[in-house]
Amino acid sequence: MSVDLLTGYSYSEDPQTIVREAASGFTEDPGTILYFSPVSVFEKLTQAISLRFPNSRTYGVSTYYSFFEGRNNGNGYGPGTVIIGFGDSFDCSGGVIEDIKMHPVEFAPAIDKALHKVPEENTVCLTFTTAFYGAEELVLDTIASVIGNRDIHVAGSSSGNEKWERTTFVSYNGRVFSSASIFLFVHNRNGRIEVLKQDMFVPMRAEFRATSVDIRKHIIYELDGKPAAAELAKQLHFELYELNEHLHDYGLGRKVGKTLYTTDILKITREKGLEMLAAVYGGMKLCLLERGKYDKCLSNMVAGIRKKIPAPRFMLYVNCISLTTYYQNIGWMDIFTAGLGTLAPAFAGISGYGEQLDRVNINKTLMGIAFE
Amino acid sequence: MKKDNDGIIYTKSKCIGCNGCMLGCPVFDANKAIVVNGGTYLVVDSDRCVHCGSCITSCPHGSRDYRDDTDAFLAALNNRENLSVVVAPSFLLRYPEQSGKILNYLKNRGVTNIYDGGFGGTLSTWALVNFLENHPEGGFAIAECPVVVNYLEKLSMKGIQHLAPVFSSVMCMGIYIKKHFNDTAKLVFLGNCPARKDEFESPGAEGIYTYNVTYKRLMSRIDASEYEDLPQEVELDCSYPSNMLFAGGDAKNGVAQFIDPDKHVLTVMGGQRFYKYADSFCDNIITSENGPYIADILNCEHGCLMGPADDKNIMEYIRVWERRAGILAKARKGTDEMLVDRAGVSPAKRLDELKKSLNTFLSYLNPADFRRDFSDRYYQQPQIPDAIINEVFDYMHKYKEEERHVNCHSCGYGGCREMAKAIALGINRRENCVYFEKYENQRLYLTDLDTGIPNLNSFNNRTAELMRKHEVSKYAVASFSLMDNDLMYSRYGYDEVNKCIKEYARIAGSMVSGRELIARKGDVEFLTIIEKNKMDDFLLNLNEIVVHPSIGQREEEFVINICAGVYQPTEEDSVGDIIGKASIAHRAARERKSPCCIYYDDSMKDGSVEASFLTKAFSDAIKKREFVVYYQPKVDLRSIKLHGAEALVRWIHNGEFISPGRFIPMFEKNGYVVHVDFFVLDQVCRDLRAWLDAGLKPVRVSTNFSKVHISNLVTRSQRPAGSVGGGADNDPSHDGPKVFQSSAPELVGQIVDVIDRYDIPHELIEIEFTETTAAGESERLAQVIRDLHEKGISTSIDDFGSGYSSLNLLQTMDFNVLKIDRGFLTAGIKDPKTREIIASVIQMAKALEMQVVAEGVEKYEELEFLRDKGCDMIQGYYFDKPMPGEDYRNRLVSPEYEIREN
Ligand code: SF4
Ligand code: SF4
Ligand code: SF4
Repeated sequence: MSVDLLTGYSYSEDPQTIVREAASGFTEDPGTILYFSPVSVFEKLTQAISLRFPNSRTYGVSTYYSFFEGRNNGNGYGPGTVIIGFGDSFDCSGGVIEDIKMHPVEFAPAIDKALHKVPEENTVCLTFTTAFYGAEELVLDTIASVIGNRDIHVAGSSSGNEKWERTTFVSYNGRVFSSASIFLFVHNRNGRIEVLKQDMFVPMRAEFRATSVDIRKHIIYELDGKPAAAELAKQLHFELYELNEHLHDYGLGRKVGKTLYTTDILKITREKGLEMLAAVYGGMKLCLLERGKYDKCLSNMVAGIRKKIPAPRFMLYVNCISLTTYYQNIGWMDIFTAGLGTLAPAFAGISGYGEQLDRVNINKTLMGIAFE
Repeated sequence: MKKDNDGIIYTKSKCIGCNGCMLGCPVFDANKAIVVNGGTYLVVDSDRCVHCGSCITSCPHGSRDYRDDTDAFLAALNNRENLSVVVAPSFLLRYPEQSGKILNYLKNRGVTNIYDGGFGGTLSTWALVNFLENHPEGGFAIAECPVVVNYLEKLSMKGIQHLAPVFSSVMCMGIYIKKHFNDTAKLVFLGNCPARKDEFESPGAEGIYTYNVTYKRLMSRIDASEYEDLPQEVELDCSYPSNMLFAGGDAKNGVAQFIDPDKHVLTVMGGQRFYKYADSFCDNIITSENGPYIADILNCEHGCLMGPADDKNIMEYIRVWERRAGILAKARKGTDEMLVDRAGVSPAKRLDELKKSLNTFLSYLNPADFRRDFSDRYYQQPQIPDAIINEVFDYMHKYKEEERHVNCHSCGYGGCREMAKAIALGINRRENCVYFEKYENQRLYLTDLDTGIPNLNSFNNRTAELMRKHEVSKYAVASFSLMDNDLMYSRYGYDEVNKCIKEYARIAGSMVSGRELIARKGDVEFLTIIEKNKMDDFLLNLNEIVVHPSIGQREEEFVINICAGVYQPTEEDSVGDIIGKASIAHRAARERKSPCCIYYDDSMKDGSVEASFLTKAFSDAIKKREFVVYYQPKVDLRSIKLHGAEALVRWIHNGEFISPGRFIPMFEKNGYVVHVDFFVLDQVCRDLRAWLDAGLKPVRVSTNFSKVHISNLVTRSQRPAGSVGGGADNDPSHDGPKVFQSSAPELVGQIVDVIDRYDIPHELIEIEFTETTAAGESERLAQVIRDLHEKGISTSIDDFGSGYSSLNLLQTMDFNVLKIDRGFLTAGIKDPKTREIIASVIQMAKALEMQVVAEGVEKYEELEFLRDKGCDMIQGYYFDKPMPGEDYRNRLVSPEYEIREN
């Protein structure tokens, strides 16, 4: 008997129970396993999963929240674990990129090797990177240098932490890394794969030019030649000391045609610069963003995916931690998760400290990867 | 992470940002441009810099320097700390006259031991040979030069895999001293290389050397008088003539002596020759089958004899080398085994000898003591996508392909693309590109910096260009200003208003096309040159622009109104004339204090000085009641009695009489006449009230209302929503103001208000309108007349016969009184034609049931003629000239006149 696509979940905090519960429906061992799980159980769970699936390649990512299709229990979300098994209708190959902070490019040959194991068409490269190393861009550069002009989208997430702390993990075949990235080429034998992103934040009137930045540290020092935090406070009519508590209500974005690339403002640095969650290049024109209609993101996602693939069999979502927290605060998580479940019979999602799409590291975004 | 400029190489504050230091810099991102007080300044990114010292030499302004520990060492010496010094052999060569004296001086100051560092060369050679014996495959670079080690650690991904893991001679010497001499003193290295400090701080080297002191700095800190009398001869620990072999750090004199001569020992003196090939060196060259067995790569062209801290004078280098050769030649005659004639001795034998000679005193040495590790400090440069590079180019104002390939290298990079990359990476700024600066200077010259639209210079250039091409007459020029800015400032504050001006300018700027242009002249003043047939529409659109000021978090809409003066240039005008004339018209428009547009005519120019004087004096005149009302009686030709009077305004300013001929036309242009007319009406009503109260029987007084009242009228439907008091008439045929401010009922209401304020019977007031009111306004005038009649106020048409549309007027409106223009009488009633015309006018008025008043009657014959033709009243010097109120009061008391036959 062959397996196709399996998903399972567990709210338990005990690794053995998680594996038992989440893999209860796994009739056979899938070739590749991808799981999202909170930091608190991640290391032990990784061992447990390796023991339970000795013949599968396993890829794990720590998350703030997981989203999943809960069959009879309704759709679920929370700091729980979701396990996805890619079976025979997928070809998967992947690996780990270490040294992400300095030179992930050293792992380009490994990526290249993995790439050559899957066909080019109907393939996506999933990538998950431990957060706060400022490494997402280098990882994307590295993957892009291998993929070249091939028609393969790169989509992924920075890993998360259920307590909004800085420790995050990824794992590969039973090894846990606190500073690494995993990549997984997934080829859909049944049909297409489409990737779509939707923003919740929308441009305000103010626009700036990033005139002094440190892209390694993800800091914007100056906007329009003036100290960045002060300039932002001025535009938002806050005193500088008030700005900190409002930072998450705003963002900065780069508009390319109709596409908006959103970057989250993490904090005000000592030099009164703005530390961003993603790198901002010098000389870029940025628009100030504010929260748009919170439900648009989801409805646009559903409509957008339907247009591309009317009936996907599986949806994988990446929802930015800041959107998830906001939905929690306004009591909208049930509706949101139910909405995620409307597109396909099975879905799973992760909520981490950033989203990655092709060559760009972004935030405050909902991303959907649809498998036909 | 170190802070910028915090490392061994740093920029002094006198840097002028000339980028000279970047030219020889082997590291793309080691220099970072920052802006200090408006000027660019290049600092060193201490994490990226490899401390090659190239910029110290290449900076033409002496702004790059290095840090060493000379001052700290001298301070420790003063504190009598336990210190031992390792001297690089090159010190003796570089300073043959002073080196011994200085070392003696240091000894005298309390230095415990002074070691000849050259022996470190023997040690590191031995350790290296030992390593190679275990790695016969070779393919290693010697880690003698700390700059090369820095480079391979920081800039080559695989660099450290190809470094032979043996400390440099300097470190080997330090390790040996610590371990085998048990010297507990703080160790000082006196050498020629600031970068040596990096090795002292590398993993495994901790605690060996405390201070890295350079010759140059030390020499500059010690006064020659303190050592010049000391002996030059100095006794050094661990000193052998063969130590000189290692002066300069040359592997040919070291490890090459002990390996198979067929094996390739590559020596590269001068990092610049190596760095750009470092990656392929590591990836291919050193790993290839016939690649070098061992490579000795030194950053400095003359090796460590003249390090990064040295002045690198070639003549000095030659002398140093001569000295070295001399010392070695002398020593060869002696007993040093390493220096006896080596010809014919095989490397294997040499190695054997070396080992034996070392073993006599190094039998307890362990090669592992000299093993080192390297740090992986390679940082993958972010790839900047083309889309980002293109956006940066736009930001640099390089829009065209050729502008993106200027490649002048002034920024210090290999070309424009590298500079764009550096800007994207945040390590440089566009201000550092000469092309941008040139563009920027031009832009600054031609652009209004606050709004980003062109400035006056730009306007001048464009107008001059159109004049050169003889096309200027196809255009019209408007000078205009935004109104209500005081209101805006007080409501929204300075910053918001500035933002609104910017927004306004951006929108206005987007409305011009082709060679048209809009420029900011001053705070809220603009100039525009537009195809002349488009000008009226253009101004109309400019008058409706909505901006968005904020109050706190709330954004509001504010409709900007403008007043404009327009001039249509001719080929004969100069640029100055054009701007001047538009400005004169603009001044007139501004004085209207309501949204309007006035076209220039020459009378404005002639009167402009006068206008400015009168305009300034006006508001005081109203306040001080400098305007006074004179009355000129109208006498009934049947009863020869006073029947009415015309109120005439006079202005007495500082005792000077200003004739109405001077100020009324001016005030008609700037709109002040409206205030004057109401002032007169008010005064008339006051006087009438006083006379009534005194029991007199005043007769009807006519008072003039200028055509400007009618021009100002607008029907309610013409007012744009939200505009501050006005809309626009878009009839280009007007040469008067085209923007209006009140309705006919409002005007009549205001008149009635004044009359009623003094409780004057309405029939005692007559409103005189001139007949020159433009055709387009006749409908509004008719409405006013109807409304006045409804209120019981009579009306007259003044100066009948002076305009062109008189008959039309009579046809469309029902004046009560017709006043024949004095011009007819001036022409003289002897002229039959004049007589005929006057007779016809009187006849026609009668037919229309109007009373007729003839103005300017001075002669008896005129009176007779008019009475004969049926004229009702005359007004003129024949009976009375205009007189002050008190005199006129007397006329009321005795209203009879006499007819005199002159
Ligand atoms: S010392 Fe060398 S690497 Fe450092 S900034 Fe100067 S030239 Fe560049
Ligand atoms: S060469 Fe470099 S350090 Fe020297 S003045 Fe020019 S920019 Fe400054
Ligand atoms: S024109 Fe190009 S090469 Fe010249 S300074 Fe500017 S960016 Fe550098």
